[in-house]
Amino acid sequence: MSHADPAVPELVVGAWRGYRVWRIRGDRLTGWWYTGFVWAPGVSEASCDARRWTLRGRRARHAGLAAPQRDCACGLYALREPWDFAGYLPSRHFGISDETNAVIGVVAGWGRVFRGEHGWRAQFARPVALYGTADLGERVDRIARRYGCQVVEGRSGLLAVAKQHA
Amino acid sequence: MQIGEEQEEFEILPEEEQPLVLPEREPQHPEAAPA
Repeated sequence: MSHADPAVPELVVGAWRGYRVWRIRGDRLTGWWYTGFVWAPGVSEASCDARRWTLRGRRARHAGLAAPQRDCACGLYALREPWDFAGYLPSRHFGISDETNAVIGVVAGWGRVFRGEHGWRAQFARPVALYGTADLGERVDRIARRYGCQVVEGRSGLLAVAKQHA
Repeated sequence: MQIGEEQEEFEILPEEEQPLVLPEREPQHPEAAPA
């Protein structure tokens, strides 16, 4: 749905759900790409660490502004459409990277959100479900308890969770 | 994670935080007004 003034964000009620990949580090979930962002148990809030050069040195690109911002890569990401969840991650979305300790899941996002053709990046997000696999074993169960989300097995289970309203 | 170049901005409220919209009150008739 479009609106008359593209400068004014469209107001939507009800968090969006999407699919993403986290990396397990110890008992925590972290971001996937080139980031050490640690997801908080419960709700995480995006921050922007983009910098720009000024005459006074490197400064925050969006100082004092909430992430995500337009023309930036900041935000908490999700894809709108599922993939097969088997084998390698689709490189068109995830690039070529080390898949060690990767865990797939469903995430809910809200607040400021930028939506693209394939997914969105949000200000606030929380893990809703993690995809339990044999190679990750009980680590997924432990992290799910810590983050207050459920563990699902099988692709259909993850799809069902994603279709629910947050 | 690649989500696409063209991006549209939204403001999303979780359902539990949606703004409360009160129904408009019926206009009161003078005889129904308290004395």
